[in-house]
Formats: sequence, structure tokens, C-alpha cells
Amino acid sequence: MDFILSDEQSLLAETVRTLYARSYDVQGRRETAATSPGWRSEVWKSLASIGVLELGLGDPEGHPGTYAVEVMVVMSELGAALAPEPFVDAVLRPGNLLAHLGAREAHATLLAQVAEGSTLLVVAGDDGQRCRAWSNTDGWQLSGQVERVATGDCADQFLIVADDEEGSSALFLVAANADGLTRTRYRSRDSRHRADLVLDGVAAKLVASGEQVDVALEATATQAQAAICAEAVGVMAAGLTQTAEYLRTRTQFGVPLSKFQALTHRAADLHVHLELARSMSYYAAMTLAEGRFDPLVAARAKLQITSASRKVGQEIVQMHGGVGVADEHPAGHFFTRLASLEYTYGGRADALNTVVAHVRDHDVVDVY
Amino acid sequence: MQLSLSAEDRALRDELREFFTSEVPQEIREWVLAGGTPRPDHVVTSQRILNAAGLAVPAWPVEWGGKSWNQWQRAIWLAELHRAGVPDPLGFNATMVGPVIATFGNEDQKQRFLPATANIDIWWAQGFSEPGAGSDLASLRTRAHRDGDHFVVNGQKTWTTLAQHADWIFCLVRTDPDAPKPQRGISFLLIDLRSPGVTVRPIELIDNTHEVNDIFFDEVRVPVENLVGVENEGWSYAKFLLGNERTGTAQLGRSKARLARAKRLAVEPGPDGAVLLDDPGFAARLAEIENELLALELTMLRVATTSANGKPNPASSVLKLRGSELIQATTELVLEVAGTRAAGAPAGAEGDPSDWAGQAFSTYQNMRKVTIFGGSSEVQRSIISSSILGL
Repeated sequence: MDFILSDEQSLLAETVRTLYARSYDVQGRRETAATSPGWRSEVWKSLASIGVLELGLGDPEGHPGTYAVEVMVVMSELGAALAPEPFVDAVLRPGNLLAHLGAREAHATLLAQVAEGSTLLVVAGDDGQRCRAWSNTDGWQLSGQVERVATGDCADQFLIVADDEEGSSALFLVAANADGLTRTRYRSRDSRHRADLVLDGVAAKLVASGEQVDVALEATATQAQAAICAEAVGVMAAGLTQTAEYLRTRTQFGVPLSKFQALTHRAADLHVHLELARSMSYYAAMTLAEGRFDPLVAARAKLQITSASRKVGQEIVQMHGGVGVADEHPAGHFFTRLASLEYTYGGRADALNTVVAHVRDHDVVDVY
Repeated sequence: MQLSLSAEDRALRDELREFFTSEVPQEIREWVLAGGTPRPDHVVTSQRILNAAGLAVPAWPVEWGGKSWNQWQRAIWLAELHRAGVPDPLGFNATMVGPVIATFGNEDQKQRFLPATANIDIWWAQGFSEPGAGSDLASLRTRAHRDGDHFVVNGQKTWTTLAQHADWIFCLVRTDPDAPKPQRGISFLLIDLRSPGVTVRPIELIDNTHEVNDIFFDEVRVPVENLVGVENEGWSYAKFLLGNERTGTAQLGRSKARLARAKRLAVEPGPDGAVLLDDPGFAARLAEIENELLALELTMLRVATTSANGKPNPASSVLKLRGSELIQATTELVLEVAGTRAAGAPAGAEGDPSDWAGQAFSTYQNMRKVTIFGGSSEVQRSIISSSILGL
């Protein structure tokens, strides 16, 4: 067992970090967030050119979790930069889903376009909002509603989860501009961009159906969960660094805030939260890298991360005083991102329910 | 970055698991796993069995009984030891004075003390804290002045754990009261507790046990050969020792075993016939603590915590702080299972687990110490905020 990043993994982190340092400052992020799609295509193209998008689609030779540690590394940097680019929605989730279905080759051209950053492929309906699917002489059609689709506003293609006429799960490829698909775009409360979709007899191409879709969805969910856990760790780390800097530099009563032990001790507690969360993020990634797509591991990571993220997010704001709630200042953005991530792919209660459901499976709790 | 144990480490784990569960008497291990406090005879028997197999002091230099294991292999040893209910080798011997003598002692001292320390032929006590010097250890006042080829020691040490069973004590003493900073006038002295002038007096703790003591030194003569390292440089040896002490106090494996025991007890029907683990609130609390223990275990494995360059790694403060909180959380959970059977149970023999519900109350009382000793939680937070966060 070891927890050491390889040189390549460290370099990957640095490359992503440098890209974002070059691309955004606080004001730039706010301006970008205010306009559709809320992220920058030139940054997306840069991610493509440094191979990050291709990495996120997984290893065509290995199992779908082969690059899980690299994904963790990338996600932590994206989190630290509060990056708005839709790496999870438009690369990881669709790529992993197709990989688990063994459908990479059948969609090789599409995936190549995703990797080069020219096509945005987004999954919808994997949160239980299922469309109905039926087939006739014209082929497959979908009807239904899928609300709050992250990155649904700018998707070119959708992978939509539906129930077929027998009630089995099925996955379909749908063009975003297909007849009968109405898309209402909006900026969400967490300053991202989403869409509500209404499908009325939309022509769809069947990708896969049956139990294999359920299995693939569950496995993909473990990878998505691990990814946002890593992102949250990055957000917390960057937020804590900024908070420590603020405590060192902000003066009141003639002294820097770091003179007040109540604040430094609370900051120490945040560091402990961060380190424990980081460990669970590593655990999730390392498990995936071994080819184990275990919902319990994902839930354990999410449980630990949410324990930390709520506390850390709130304290980042609190320790910044008034500027913590001013949008102009980055402090509050860490808080908002953490609050959003907490409820992505289920919240703390869902994670806890999964962990509790397994509490009788073992005597002593163990890493293995 | 890799989660699974290598084949070599898996083999080591299996070998140690086999050894601990077959060579250390079952009576001792059952006592510990049932929540009992190891008795002195348990500690000695167990450590001598381990030492005979070269497994008592793995972190020591190989020439003195250590193993050339990496930190993960040492973690496997500790985890298997705890899992099997084997008492820890006496910390004062194995993780405190032993490494100090091995690192800073002269050849004579190593020969004289290390084998006996590993084999607990000498039971060591730790003479650090004083009534006026707890968190502020550097303000200690026990004085050692030079008289010919002896030091003469006068003063008082307190909170001296298990000194009533100890043969020798390693002491921080003030050898230069005029040093510009208090840290610069402290020496590390080894004292035979049978020396004339030494008095050991019990302190009763709130769980009515005799675990700690006051020790009074009245003109105690100590040969200068018992000075470890350089006079007035004892504080640096103390910091080295405290770093190692800090890591050991997380007691992660014990917390995991205690929580597993709480779970086993919670699936038995209680006095009212209800199965506590069926209570969603209780199950959630237990599951959360399990998850936190997992997170801490991974953090322990992830972070190098041994004293390096004579300075404690500040990451060990994270482990001590959180580890001690989780120890307490597990004692609270066992007490919750015991419920109304606990506080009103008759007082039993010290550390005896046969009335588990009554013992749960005493353990809960006793373990309030873990966030106080070994550097209080407040001290650990100060270390984290200054050394790690730069505040």
C-alpha cells in the first residue's frame, strides 16, 4: 500500500493548476458565471489539448477505473480553482457510462469528438427522472421530463436514461437539437448553468438496455461520487489556504487576526477535517483504480467529505467576516461550491443510509 | 498510489495474525478484547513473549531488537496486535525511553539498558509533568545539581503513570536554572526508583483506580553516567520523545476493537428486550464513528509521522487530536449500549471487564484523560495552527 503520487500524476496536477492560474481570476470567474454557458470554451480546448478530456474518458485498454487516481488529481485542482468547466458532466459521466456498457468502440467517433473538445455529451435521467421509451417502425422515441440537468444548457448530445415498455432500464443517444426536445436554460442558485428538458416523441438511438444499464449506472455513480469528493477536497484546501492568509494579514484591534487563539484553534480543526476528507478521497480513487466500483466505498467517502465540507465551508465564510458574504470576495464562493457539491449525487443522509445499511456486514471496520 | 497490500505485506500480516493469536495467552487477549485494562502481569508476560520472537520493539534500530520494516509494515504489526487483544508493549519502554537511549545514549547506556528495556526486565516510568508544569513542560523545576560524580535531584514529578510498578524513571530535570530560555537548562536523567530519597505516592483518579502517582525526590543521588546525551540538551531529546508518544496515543486499533464490541453488544436484546442496533439513530451514530475511524486509519497510513531530524512531525498532532476524540466517542457508544446498567453497577476490581456494563462507566470516566495527556487537544491545535497553517 502506498499513497505517493507518481511524477506524472504530480505533473498533471501542476499543469492543470497552471492553466487555471493563467485563465481565471476572481472577477473573471464571476463574469464568466454570469453569462451562458458559465465557462470558457478556450479553457475547455486547453484541457483537450493537454489530454485531460481524453484521460477523463478512461483507458480504452483497461477497466473504466484505471485512471481514477489521475481523475482525482485533476478534480482536486479543478476544485481548488473553483473551475466551472464541466469535466464531470461532459466527460467523466458519459465516458464512464459507455465504458461500463462496453460501448466505447461503437461510439468511437463521438468519444473522439468529446476528447478533442468539439462535442459536449451529457448524461440525463440517471437521477431517477426517467423518460418513457417505446419503439415502432420509426425506431425508438422518448417522452418525459428531466429537470435541473447539469450542463444540459450547452450539451450537443444527451445520453438519456429511460424505462422501456417492459419497465427495463435503457440508455439512448439523443441530439440536443432533435425535434420534440425543448430545452429551457437557466442559471442555477449555485451559479452554474443547467437546463430543464421536455421530450415529446423525440427520436433516439438505443445504446443499451436491460440489467446491464442498471449495473453500468451504479458503477458510473461510484466514479462520479469519487470525482466530486476529490473536487470538494480541492475546494476545502484552497479555501483553508486563503483563510489562513486572511487570518495572517487582516488586522483588527492593532493585531493580525492570527493572534486570537479562538480563530487559530478553529482553523486547526478545519485542517483536521480536510486531512481526514482527503484520506477518504484517496481511498475512493484507489479502490476504483483497482477496478472495484463499490457503492459502499463511494458512500463512505461522501459521508466523510460532507462532514468536513459543511463545517469547512461555513467557517471559511465566518472567519472572513463581512467579506465572506460579499460576492466580490472569493471566500463565499468556496462555501457555495461546497454546499452545492454536498447535494450532488445524493446528500449526506443518502450516504449515511448506505453506510448504515452495511453496518452488520463486518465486525471490525477495515480498509479492505 | 495503491491500496492493496503487496503479497509480501499480506504474508507479514498473516504471519503476525497467527503469532499474536496463538502465542499470547488467550486469557490475556480475552481480557483486553472484553474492555479490560491489562494488569501488570499481563503486560510483562505479553511483552516477553513478543520480545522472544523479536516483535516487541520493531521501531528500534535493528541491532537492538528492531525490524527493518517500513512505516506500513509497522502499521500492520500494530493493527494485528490491537485486533488480537494483545497488550501494547509498555509505551514508556518501547516508544519513549528506548528510542531516546538508542538515538542519543552512549554505548554503555545502550548495552546496560536497551536489552532489559525491550524485555521489560526494567519497567520504566516517565518523569516529565510537575504540579506547576503540565502543558508548559519547559517550566519544570525539579532540580539536579552536580556534586562530584553524582547529580543530586530535588523536586516532584506528577501524573506518573504506573510508577507503582516501575523500576526506573527517565526524568527531565533542571540542570541550569540560569539558562536564558527555560528549554536550554534541561537534562535527561535516568533514575533508579529504589534510590534513597524517592517516594512514590498514589493519586486516585475519578474512576477510583490507582493509575498515576506523585513522585518526590529528596536529595536523590544519581550517577553522572545516567545522564543521557549532553547536559542541558534534554529538551531536544524530550521533543523527539514527545513526537513518538503522540503517534502512539491515537490507539486506533483499540478504538476499532471497542467499537466492534459495542456493535456485538448492541445486537443482543437489552434489558427491555429491544435490540439497540435496530434503532436507526444508534446505528447511524455507530456507522459514523466507524467511518471516522476508517478515515483516521487511512490518514495514519498516508502521513509519515515519525520524528525526523529530532523534531516531531506536526502531522502527528492531527492523529493525536482526532485519535483521542475518537477513543472518547467509542467509550461513549459502549456506555450508550450499557445504558442504565452502567452508573449504578457495583464497583469492581480495577480494569476488570467481567461486568462489562459497569466497566463501561469506569472506562468512560477514565478516558477523559486522553484529550488531556500526551499534549492536550488545545496544545495540539496550537501546534497544527502554527506549524502547519503558519498562523
